[in-house]
Amino acid sequence: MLEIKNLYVSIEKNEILKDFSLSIKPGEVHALMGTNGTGKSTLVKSIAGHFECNITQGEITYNNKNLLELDPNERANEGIFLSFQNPVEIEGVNNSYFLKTALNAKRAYNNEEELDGLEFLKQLKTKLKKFGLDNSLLKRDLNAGFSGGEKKRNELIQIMILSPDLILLDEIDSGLDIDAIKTVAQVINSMLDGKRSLLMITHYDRLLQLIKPDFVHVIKDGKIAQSGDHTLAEELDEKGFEGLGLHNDKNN
Amino acid sequence: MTKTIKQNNDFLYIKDSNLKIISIKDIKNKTLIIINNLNINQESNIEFVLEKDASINVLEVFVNTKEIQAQANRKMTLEKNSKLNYCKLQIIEEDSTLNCTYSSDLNKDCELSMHIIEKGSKESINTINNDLKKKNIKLNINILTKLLHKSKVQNHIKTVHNAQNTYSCISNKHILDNESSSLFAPLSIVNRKALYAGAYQYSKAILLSDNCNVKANPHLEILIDELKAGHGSSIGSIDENALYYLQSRGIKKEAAKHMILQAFENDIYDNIPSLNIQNFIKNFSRKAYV
Repeated sequence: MLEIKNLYVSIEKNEILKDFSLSIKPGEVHALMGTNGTGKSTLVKSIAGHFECNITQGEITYNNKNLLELDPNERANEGIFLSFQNPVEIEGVNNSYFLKTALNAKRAYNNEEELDGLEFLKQLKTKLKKFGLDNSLLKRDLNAGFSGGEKKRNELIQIMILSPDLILLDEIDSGLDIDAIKTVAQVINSMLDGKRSLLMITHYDRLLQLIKPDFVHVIKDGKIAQSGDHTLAEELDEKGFEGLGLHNDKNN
Repeated sequence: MTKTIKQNNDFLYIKDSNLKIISIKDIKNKTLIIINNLNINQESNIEFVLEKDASINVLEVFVNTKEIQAQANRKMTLEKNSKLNYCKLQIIEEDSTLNCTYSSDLNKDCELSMHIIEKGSKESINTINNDLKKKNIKLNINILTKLLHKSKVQNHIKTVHNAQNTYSCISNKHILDNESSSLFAPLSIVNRKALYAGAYQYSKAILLSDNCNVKANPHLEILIDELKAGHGSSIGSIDENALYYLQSRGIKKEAAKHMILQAFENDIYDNIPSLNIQNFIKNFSRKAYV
């Protein structure tokens, strides 16, 4: 599904990712861990085509397509969804209108008929009800004035509506209470159908206890330093990055 | 010529450029729409007179079919406790110039709200003078300047606070593209008699090209300590993070840009106190009136 080969990425002339490689197959769940500033967010932003990321070398292919040739909206419509650590607030853009526009953009990309307002609301309410998410967020402007938890809930609503094939979660658990983390896990686990893949960045074992990863990678100095199964996350939780010799050199 | 408005219709349309005085009596919360299809070198003069306790929503539309050099003079006379929500929608095309001057005679406890929406104007100057000489007068002026090509718009707004508890908020939002330019020059003076006044000025601009320019010169002259006042000005391009966020959800760059600009504009429309006028502007088609 996703093949990253020998990727080098710079942000404002600072080389963040250096010779980074990773392969994600359909249905796989990967967790990416590492100390601050090692390049975790840069990786998911590069996959999603963020304007800050300057890819100087390497390849990213997604379903055999060269992802680097696609605009961010095309990558999204191909099935990639990046849940942001700090979703941007856009005043004046109604959340429900935004969601409908995004869903219809995807449907148009896939040559499917666009949904009218009524059909969209029907689908939306059904999905929200399933996970006990209230629809009050939909009446407000996109993330405007939302608390940290509301912003993350809104990212979940978008995932449910857009049904991506590859979900990238950038610290979706940061700043969430235990109940909210459980809701995140419930929504994400319900979407993992054996075909859909997940790459999640987290600092905490708690999320990984609720969403079991097939692979855990630790990133150090811009490349994967160690990979393993979920026991690696448990070991990290116990001993820390320093204990396993996986502390970023820059931070030493 | 004087026209007295006392009807019970929800909408009152006037298409008469010879009107001199529109007198509004015993009316509350009605909407009056005036269509000005201006001719070459025309001068249009209207005085709105609101009797005590009256309130009305007025939308004036300015359009043209030919090249014009026109002048529009408006006076707002508001008696005690009256309320005027005045909105100007101006879409002037061709090589034209339109100068509008606004003056007022405002009385105790009255409220004047002005929304000035200018799109595609070739050259336009708005000169707005308000003397807040009686207690508890409330003045809000919100301007949207959305320009293309080589259009130039100037807004000169002088507000003088001369009585207690008077309030003014003057705001201009600009969306400029190509080689257009916009000047926002508000001057608010708070004199010694105007204790506990509120005086605010704001300007926000989005520049869509390297060749357009905005000059915002907020200016407050304050002669007392017992008041609330503030001013702010920001100039920038479209927020790249907002644009990227929308794109990352599958929305094309141009559509995302349109959504963000529409949101910036909607903030002005949504603050128009009359829903009738809001809907009229959102559905307005210039073609229907030229």
